[in-house]
Amino acid sequence: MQDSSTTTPETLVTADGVPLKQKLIQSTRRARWRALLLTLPLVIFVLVSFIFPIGQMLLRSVNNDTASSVLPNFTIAIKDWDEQGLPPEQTIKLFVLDMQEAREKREIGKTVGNLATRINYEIPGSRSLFTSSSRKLARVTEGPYTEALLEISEKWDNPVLWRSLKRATSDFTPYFYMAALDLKYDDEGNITEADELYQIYVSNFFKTLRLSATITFICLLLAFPVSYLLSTLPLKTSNLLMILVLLPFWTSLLVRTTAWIAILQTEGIINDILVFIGLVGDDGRVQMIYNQTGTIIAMVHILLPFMILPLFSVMKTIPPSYMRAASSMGAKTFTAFRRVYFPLTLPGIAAGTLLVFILAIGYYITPALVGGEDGLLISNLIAYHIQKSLNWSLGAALGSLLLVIVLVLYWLYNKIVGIEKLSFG
Amino acid sequence: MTKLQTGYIIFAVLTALVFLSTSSVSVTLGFLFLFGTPLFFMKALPAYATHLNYFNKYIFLLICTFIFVFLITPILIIMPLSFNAEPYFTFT
Repeated sequence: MQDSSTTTPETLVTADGVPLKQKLIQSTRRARWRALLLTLPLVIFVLVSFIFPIGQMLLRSVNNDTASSVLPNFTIAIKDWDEQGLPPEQTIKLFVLDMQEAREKREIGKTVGNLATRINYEIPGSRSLFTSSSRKLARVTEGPYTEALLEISEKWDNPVLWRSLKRATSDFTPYFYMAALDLKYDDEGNITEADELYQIYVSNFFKTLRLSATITFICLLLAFPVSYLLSTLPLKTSNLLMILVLLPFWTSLLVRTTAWIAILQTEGIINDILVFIGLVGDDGRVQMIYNQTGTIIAMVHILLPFMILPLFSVMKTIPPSYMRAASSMGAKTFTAFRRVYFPLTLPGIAAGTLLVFILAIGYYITPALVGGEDGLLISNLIAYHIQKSLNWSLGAALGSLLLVIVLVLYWLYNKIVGIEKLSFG
Repeated sequence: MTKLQTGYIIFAVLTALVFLSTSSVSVTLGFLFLFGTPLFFMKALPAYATHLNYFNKYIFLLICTFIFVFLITPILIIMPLSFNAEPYFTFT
């Protein structure tokens, strides 16, 4: 038998002389790997369906490889241009040759049309210049190329256009973020505010934030009494009333939004009732839909259960004896509510407001259906750029800004309320 | 007479007044439903409760009724609407 005094007391070893700690890690390694393997499907799913698309979006919002892939040689040559007057003859020759090659090859995503669309974002109306010049440039076989280009169109004699082309050849561009913040390059290449007519995004961001805050506040006002009632009623009655809350929750979003159209439109139920009672005349029917009012009403209805459910589950845990105790110590009903009940419901309020606000800020279907022109949110503009104008980069930039806003709000929320206070009951 | 019974009587008088002033059955039925439901769910409060406590409780239940109506109306409204023969949302 081995003498136990030969080993130092600090390092415990097993029978075969290996330190106990190392042996323990070895024996649990398999279990840890198995546990890791079990979470692998979820990790892969989140990576593929969430992290990867967001990365794509962030990349798309700064990506700027259209011009450099259509005009590869010109891209290298233009770097030496000092941005004064026209580029040198050699550079313009490369531009013409690149244009001719792009026209012949017609590779998907690398056509003159793609380039024209990209430059058209910065200089409206330049699209037709590129497409028509590309057609005529096919006949140009020898120099001087500058004269040939100017013969095709006088518009090429414009340093602003060439400066814009030079900017478009860099691999990454802040242009789409600038556009999303209502900024643009002026003729000298400095960053300035966009024309007043085109300043739509910043005001829309603020409108989205304002509407979301309004919706969250109304939801809180409506959800508080209902949750209190549901939490204080006997179980049998509250279960029955809970169905009234859950039924909208279970009904399709589209059905509910369409129902609101039927209720709120000028020939709808509410207006009919108002006319029937005599509050408004038949010719003075109230416009309650296709504006901000419609968006607020329909979205409050849709998001109300998201506020009621966390509030209810938190209120359920507050013993009614607390309020009675406060009263017995001399507090008036309001004081007891303010000092005892309300602070206890704060975790539920925190959870509900965060949930409703973040859902509201990115809401798309309801504003699209009942918002009209006035009640559109930033998500509708993003959808417009993805589906209609096909300016995906601008859509991605707007989406990234929205993501940043949500993250900043979340950070602020954590600072003010504390995320550990969040409770869904 | 308990305080709850006083409430019932006031409500009955108000309903009669609504019917007399509008002379319309549907308005009276609407009033009866909206303002009667909270009264139906009222229970006797503790013996020390004053008239004001009863009134506050009634207002609270009334607000809750309105919110529940707000929640459920869009779900119920589509049922008569599904018998609609018109091209757009109208009640036939």
